[in-house]
Amino acid sequence: MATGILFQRDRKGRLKSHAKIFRDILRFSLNLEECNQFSQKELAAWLASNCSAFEFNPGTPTKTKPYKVLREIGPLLGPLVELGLIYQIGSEPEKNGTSEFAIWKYPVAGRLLALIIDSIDLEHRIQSNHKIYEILRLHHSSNKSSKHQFFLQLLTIYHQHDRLDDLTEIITEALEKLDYIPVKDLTDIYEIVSITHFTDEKARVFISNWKSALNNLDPSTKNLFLYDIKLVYEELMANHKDLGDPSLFEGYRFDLRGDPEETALQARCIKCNIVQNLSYKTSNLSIRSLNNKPLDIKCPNPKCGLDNCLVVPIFVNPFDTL
Amino acid sequence: MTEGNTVQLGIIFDRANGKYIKAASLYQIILLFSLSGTDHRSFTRWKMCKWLKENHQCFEKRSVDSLQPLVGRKIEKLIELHLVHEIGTQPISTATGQTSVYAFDSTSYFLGWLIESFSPDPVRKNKAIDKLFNILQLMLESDTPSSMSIFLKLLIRRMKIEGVFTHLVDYIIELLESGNQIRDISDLINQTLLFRHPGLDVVNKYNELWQKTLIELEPRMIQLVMFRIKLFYEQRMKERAIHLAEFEKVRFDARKRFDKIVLECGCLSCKKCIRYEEIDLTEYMVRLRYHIKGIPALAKDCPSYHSIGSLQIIDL
Repeated sequence: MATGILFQRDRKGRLKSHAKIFRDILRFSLNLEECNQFSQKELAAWLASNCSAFEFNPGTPTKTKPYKVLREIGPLLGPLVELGLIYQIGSEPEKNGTSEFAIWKYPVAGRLLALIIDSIDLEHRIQSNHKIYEILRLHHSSNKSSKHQFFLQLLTIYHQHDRLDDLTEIITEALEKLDYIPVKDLTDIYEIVSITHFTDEKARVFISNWKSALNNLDPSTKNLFLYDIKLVYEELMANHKDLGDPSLFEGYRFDLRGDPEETALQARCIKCNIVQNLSYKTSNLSIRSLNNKPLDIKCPNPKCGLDNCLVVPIFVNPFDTL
Repeated sequence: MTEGNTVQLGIIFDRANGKYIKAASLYQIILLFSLSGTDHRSFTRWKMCKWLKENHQCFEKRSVDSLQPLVGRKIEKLIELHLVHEIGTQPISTATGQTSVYAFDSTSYFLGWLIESFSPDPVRKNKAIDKLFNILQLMLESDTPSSMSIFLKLLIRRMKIEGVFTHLVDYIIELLESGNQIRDISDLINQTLLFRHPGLDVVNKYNELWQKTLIELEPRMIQLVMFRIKLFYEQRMKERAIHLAEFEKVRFDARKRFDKIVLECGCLSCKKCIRYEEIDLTEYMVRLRYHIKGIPALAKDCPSYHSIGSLQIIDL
């Protein structure tokens, strides 16, 4: 389950109806006060008037529309629960009836995603971006880990340069493309950006801001942050199904364990198939675009000697494990 | 914040009120289908539904067609779990159009035999245990195996010889039923490192085999195995750390010491004191295996309040 369900389109490029409903279920959160709970019946009533994906026969009484919606949204809430964008906190009995309605709440990630979707609409963009900034700033300020300190720096740079538009566009693009990562924590929002292939001007700015944010960290925090990235990538490498030589890799990784600046990787030559360990600057790992482009390194095999021929499996598909 | 979940192997062993829930039972039946003959290596939804109807009482009153949507949804989940994959299509024999043809992945046979090992018939159970052993040995086989694969392969072989392997199988089932996040089979194999058992004799035997297997490895290989386990535990610790910033500082300082792990400790006296300490990896693992619910895995003295043994180390 991944956020891609909010962006699925048909062959003509139109948003699929279930994607519209997912989006509108999240957008309902923007009509609520923060932390407010709501019943499934209230959600259905709102969707009946505001979600274009629900079609009613002409002459359907306004009163009965929410009940039709109520029947349809039940199965659609499951995927949003799995993604950590909404959660049930209980249920309440129907007034003058025998059935019960589920009571729901949106976690911060749900509200954030609602705002990101809302920011696609040009009319709402400035206001939504401002709210996105506030949510993320608060989130990172209240956590002291190196990752949060780094992301606070990154966010601040975007804000100072008045480029929040770019940031939300990149995040939206990443959310749309990825089909294997659930959003379980707000910081995932950035992590999915850093491992997603994008090549335009926004990417250039992102890379530049990423580097500035890293340089703004004090040396010890920078080391902690780089070490965390190093561990993530080395673990992806160690578990990758296309890792050429596990025994060769583990020894190399072990020998590099003290150096947060260098990450152990393993590459394979696309011509002669030789497998080679290599160290890669950790600070460049997260901003490397995943375009399957071989590394700019000459093949170590003297009989091959081809330039730009080494492919690192995790740069092709990072989550392809055994 | 509610955590998001990708589909996990645990859905096949989901329980409520002491019994597998309906969906889990159906997944298990589908996986048992993979063991039911060589002609089932590839299958269509229709073939699967027909087999369900003919072999399972709970489906005998349903038509094959009425079962198809239900089975189709389950197959989709099994595809997400990399237990089944679509290998092509074939024409529908009773109508026009094409239908998908599926095949089981090697992991599905492992899970299939795991389910078969529930059998009360000792012959069937023993056959399942033998199959599981062979599959595990094959999974750990490679032209250039990692130290961990070499170690686990040797350890599992010893466990089989010494009659402890059945307990490992039980533990794997316990892991799958526990609701812990288990992404895939390699994750499941990694988590067998957490083996524990209420029986003192079993744990003593396991500890003995573990130690015997480890010291037979070359010194460099021992370091690599320990380092891998250290990373495994520290990753689990990171996911649960109350004060992540503190944890990562201590973890960074201990990064070169492959035989130490950084764990969270909480003081029972002051209740507030949360610290991150370097703990001897072997000692921690041995203690955990004896661990009985409610009794701490390891205790140390709290440096802040000078209380003896009040600093209790997290049970990962």
